[in-house]
Amino acid sequence: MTASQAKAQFAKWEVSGLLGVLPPNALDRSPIVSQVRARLSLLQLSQAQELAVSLTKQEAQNYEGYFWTAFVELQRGDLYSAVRHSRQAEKLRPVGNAVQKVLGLAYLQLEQNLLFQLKMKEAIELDRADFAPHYCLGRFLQSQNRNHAEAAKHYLLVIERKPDHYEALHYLGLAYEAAGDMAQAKTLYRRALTASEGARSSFSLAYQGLSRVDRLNNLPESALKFARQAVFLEPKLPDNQFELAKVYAALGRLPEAIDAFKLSLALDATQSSAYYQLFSLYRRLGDAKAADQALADFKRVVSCYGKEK
Amino acid sequence: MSKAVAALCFIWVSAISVPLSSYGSPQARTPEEFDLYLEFQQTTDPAARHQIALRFERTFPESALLAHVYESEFEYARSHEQRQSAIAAGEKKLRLVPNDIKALLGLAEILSYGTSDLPILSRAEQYARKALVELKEMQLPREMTRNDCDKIQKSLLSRGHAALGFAVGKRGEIAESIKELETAIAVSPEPVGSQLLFAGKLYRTAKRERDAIEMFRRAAQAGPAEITSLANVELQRRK
Repeated sequence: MTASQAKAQFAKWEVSGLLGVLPPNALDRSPIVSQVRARLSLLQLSQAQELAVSLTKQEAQNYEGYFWTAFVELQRGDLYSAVRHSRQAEKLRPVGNAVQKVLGLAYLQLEQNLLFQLKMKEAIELDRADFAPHYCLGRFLQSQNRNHAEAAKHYLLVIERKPDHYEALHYLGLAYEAAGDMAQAKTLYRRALTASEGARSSFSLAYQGLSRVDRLNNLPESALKFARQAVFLEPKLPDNQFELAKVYAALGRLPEAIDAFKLSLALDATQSSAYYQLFSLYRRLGDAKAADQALADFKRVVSCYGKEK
Repeated sequence: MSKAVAALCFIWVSAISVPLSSYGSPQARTPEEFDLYLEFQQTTDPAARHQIALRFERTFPESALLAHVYESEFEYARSHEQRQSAIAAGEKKLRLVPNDIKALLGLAEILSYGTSDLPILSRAEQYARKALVELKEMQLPREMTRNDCDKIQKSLLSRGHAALGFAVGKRGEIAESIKELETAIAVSPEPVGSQLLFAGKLYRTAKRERDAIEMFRRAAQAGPAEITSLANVELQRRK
């Protein structure tokens, strides 16, 4: 995931409340906090930051000013400042575990993985009923460490605390898929779909997962409707276009597969595997020139970024 | 090697700066360690930053983040023409990250500067050769565009060959040095005046006057001003 994708994802989590970083309104001490929240909900980050900074000046011993300043800085990608202000908030004995979560996420974005894990574990100790630190740890373990088994343990704890957490349901499905348990993966993807539809979300990854499972089970016709639905919901996700291309290729619809791989590459030109797939498809079609170009692109991407994990 | 070449070597070393971190992310073990590192990172005044770097090294001597700190110290010493301090910082970094391309290239470049000592030139050569090997394995972040990626790879490759050419050239191996400089110039995404000037001097030493003149002309055009002026002096010495 690129930094901008991660940021977009983060913002989406925030809107849907899935990330659960922000403290509940009931814990607010200063009346200024409700104004900060109002500005944030309108995506007026500068005004929200000004209010938060003014709070640090008016109530120097209240952690909230530093916390909200750090939160806005995290949203804006000013990560060093987000860490500094979160650390100041930490020293003022904050209520709940929100400071630890924001600080942990800032550490994660700064690739300080040990400190991220440390803060998420602290957040768990401070509020054992909170799903959010388990979700963050699960995503970290799965996406960065490729440790699906440990990630699954955290997702189960998320779902125990928040049964309609559709992202956790989906990623738990992904962990089962990685372990080769396709039946369980499919069940979880379906549960994720139901939960996301209940939340009226345009979450597409569960459709993508269902497509992949059916395709790998040699059911490309069935996979096609899921892959198309994933693209319909989130057409700008390169993985959705990639999955649709794989389904077309499995169905022998090579020109459509080529178009979909090209669309996927237009969204993310660093995917070496998409170039390799194009190379194979052009060869099958007997287009040697296009195949050579795709192979050259594949080699160039691998030499720049390495092979995809 | 003449004083002019020694001078241009420093310009060459200073002029080329490619942002690159060829190692993973060093991890802080405690928030306090990262706090001090942040203070170091956010300090822009070079002298103050140098002081915090020294404090960081004293306070957290085992920190993996010292790799970044030593990199900054290398640049600080180099910009203050403190050759020995720069070499020490670069070699400390290499002890932490033995395959760091930036440190290998920086050391290869600076070690050859201002010396004709054979063991030191041999060290410079080893660093340059290792950098060229590491470059084959180098991977860049996916956030970078493919064009930028190509440009950085070629620029580093060019620096590696040039550093190697300079080290062997100072040992008097002119043919080998010319070969490396020609490669450096051919792969460089844009003309580097110091490389062109040095190549001109090598050609002149090898009695290839026409090639030398061509290189001096290109060097004068490529700049910067110091190189242009040195190249013009060479052109006036036309044999």
